[in-house]
Amino acid sequence: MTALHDAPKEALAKVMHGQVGKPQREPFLQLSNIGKRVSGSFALSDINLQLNRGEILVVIGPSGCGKSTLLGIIAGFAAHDHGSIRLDGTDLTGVPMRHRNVGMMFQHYALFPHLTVRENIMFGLKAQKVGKTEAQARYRSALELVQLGEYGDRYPRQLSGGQQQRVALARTLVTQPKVVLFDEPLTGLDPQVRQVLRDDLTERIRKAGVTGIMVSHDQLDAAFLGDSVAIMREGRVLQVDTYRKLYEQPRDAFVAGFVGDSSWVSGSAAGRTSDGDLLVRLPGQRTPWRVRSAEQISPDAPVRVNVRQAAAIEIAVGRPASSDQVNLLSGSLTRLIPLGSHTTLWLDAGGHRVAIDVANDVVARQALVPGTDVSVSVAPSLCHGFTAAE
Amino acid sequence: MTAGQVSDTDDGTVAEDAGTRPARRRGRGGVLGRLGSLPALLLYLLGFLSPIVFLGYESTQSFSTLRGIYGGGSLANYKDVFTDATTLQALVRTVVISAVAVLVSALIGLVISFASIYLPPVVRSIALFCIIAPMLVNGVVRIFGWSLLLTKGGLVDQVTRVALLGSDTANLIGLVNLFIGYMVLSLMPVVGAVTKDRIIAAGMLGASELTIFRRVVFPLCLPGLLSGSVIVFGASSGAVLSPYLLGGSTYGVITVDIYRKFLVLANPTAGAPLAIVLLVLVALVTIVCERLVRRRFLAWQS
Repeated sequence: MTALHDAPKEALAKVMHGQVGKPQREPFLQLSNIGKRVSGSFALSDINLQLNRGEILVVIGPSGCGKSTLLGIIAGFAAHDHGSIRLDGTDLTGVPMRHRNVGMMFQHYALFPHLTVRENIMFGLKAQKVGKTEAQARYRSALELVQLGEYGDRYPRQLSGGQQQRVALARTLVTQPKVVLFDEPLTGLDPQVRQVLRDDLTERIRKAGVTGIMVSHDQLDAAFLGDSVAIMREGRVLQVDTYRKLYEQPRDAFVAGFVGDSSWVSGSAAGRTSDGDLLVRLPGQRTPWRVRSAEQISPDAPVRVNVRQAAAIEIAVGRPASSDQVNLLSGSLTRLIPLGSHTTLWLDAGGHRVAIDVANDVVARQALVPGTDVSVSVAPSLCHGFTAAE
Repeated sequence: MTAGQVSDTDDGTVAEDAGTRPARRRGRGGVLGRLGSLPALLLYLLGFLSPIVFLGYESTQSFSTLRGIYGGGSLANYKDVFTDATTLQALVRTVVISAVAVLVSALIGLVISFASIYLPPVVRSIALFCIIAPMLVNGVVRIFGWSLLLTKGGLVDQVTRVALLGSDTANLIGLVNLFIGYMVLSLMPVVGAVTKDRIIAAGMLGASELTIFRRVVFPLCLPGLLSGSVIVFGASSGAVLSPYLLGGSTYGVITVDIYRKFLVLANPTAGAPLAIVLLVLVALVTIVCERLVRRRFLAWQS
């Protein structure tokens, strides 16, 4: 993507001048207590989200969690039952879709196949009756932003998927929307293309200073694009944080399992350490584990512990060198999955099935093969305990 | 790749040789391919072209009840067609009625096909069945059915106090009923392109409902509308059944005229030029639609 860096800066500024501004006190976009019922049950309940100018919020969650409905409500093509949406100081309730000044990029881009690239991009400017000279100028800047200069007369079907995505982006940004909604624009692509397009989209919307909400079910989108990330499940927002915080301090068992790669072990609570870590006894393991937990867990209560795949501190063949190592897990390897940059080990430790990432040279040095008995020590900061009722 | 240029392979997805598309030609398969098409060509010449050539020949002959068809080789019959006021009126009526039939079927067809994409799948297949099934029933049966409904004392007359049988409206109802299936079948594949996302996208870009229809919905339906219209127009202007049974035996459209001249007056040389004129008319409409309209408005498809 070397070409990307050539996008002239003034072009970007021109396209997006509506969006580059000074930081504000009041959040630029504020959703308060948004709720929606569909046939009796809540499709969305108590959604509170806010977004500052120039920030990207990525909403992730499994399919059917209500994230697309949420976009529809902000865009104005879906109705909500209660709550309010304020954008740049204005209440959007009751404002029709076409007067909201909200842009949207669709999953399959929703380009108009019967219009050329130029007509697609100009569509919004014409509909909004932007003056000819102004429209021309904005069109040229938008085309420069997405570097499709010589493609103006092509029809969408004559373009590659990546080019179509850029046309969709230009078409959305050229009308200078205050907020841009991205409805899974990367879903349904094969992984390599997805990666390339994700990089491309990230750079372009960063450069254009877009304020936006992206909905996705892929956490990599969140890691790449999100200034903040909201995790949704069954119509509720479980946690809003930076991706790193979601990874390191999940407030919820679902969040812990959804963000990053991890596996679970079960045990029972055995009190707290002096620095607040929860102690968990794991069946078949000699010393109790120290794990992070913000929940109130009474002694002996069943606990599920989320172990990050990246949590391994040390791995030794056979018995551990010393028994004072933290969070030891002894068992035998069932599978080794070479993933190029590292190897994922699957460990069967007395009923606990745990996946652990280790460097490739560790595998080679210790001659790890399926069946090898090993002891793994994992970092307490990457283990999170939750009540097992979940 | 130079810096300012973005190549397709950049994205990993390669557009179907986007750059060279205009230069690509469909292969014709060489000499062997052309030879292979010979049987089809012969069948076409024998089965379709020869009756027309014969009709053309007849249209230039003379006729008397005593002598039957005899030599002539003049265009006098055509002169009669274009100087006889009744015939000209019948021609105009044929064109107008067929055009109205096209409009009505297009309107109903659009409603049906849009309704069908928003219907749940089960209802959709039932709806589609209701459209297709009548096409399998012979037109005579359907038209007789309509004549029973529209006749004096029929159901429509009883309810509305209007006996439509023998009017343009009755003929129109018959034509639409006979041919709307073709319109719906032509529209079905294209209305799928009018996705909810595209309509929402247009709306979010600031377009009003009218603009959305004018600039998105209608143009996307145009390919289906066009082929549907050509079929319905051709079929309507060539229909005998509906005008004859619902309009009446003296109903003034060209097909009834042709029917009368061939079968009632038994004068093929008077009927043949009419048939040729009708043929040319339909061919012209088809060519105009396919060549001009398609080239002008449907470049995005090719």
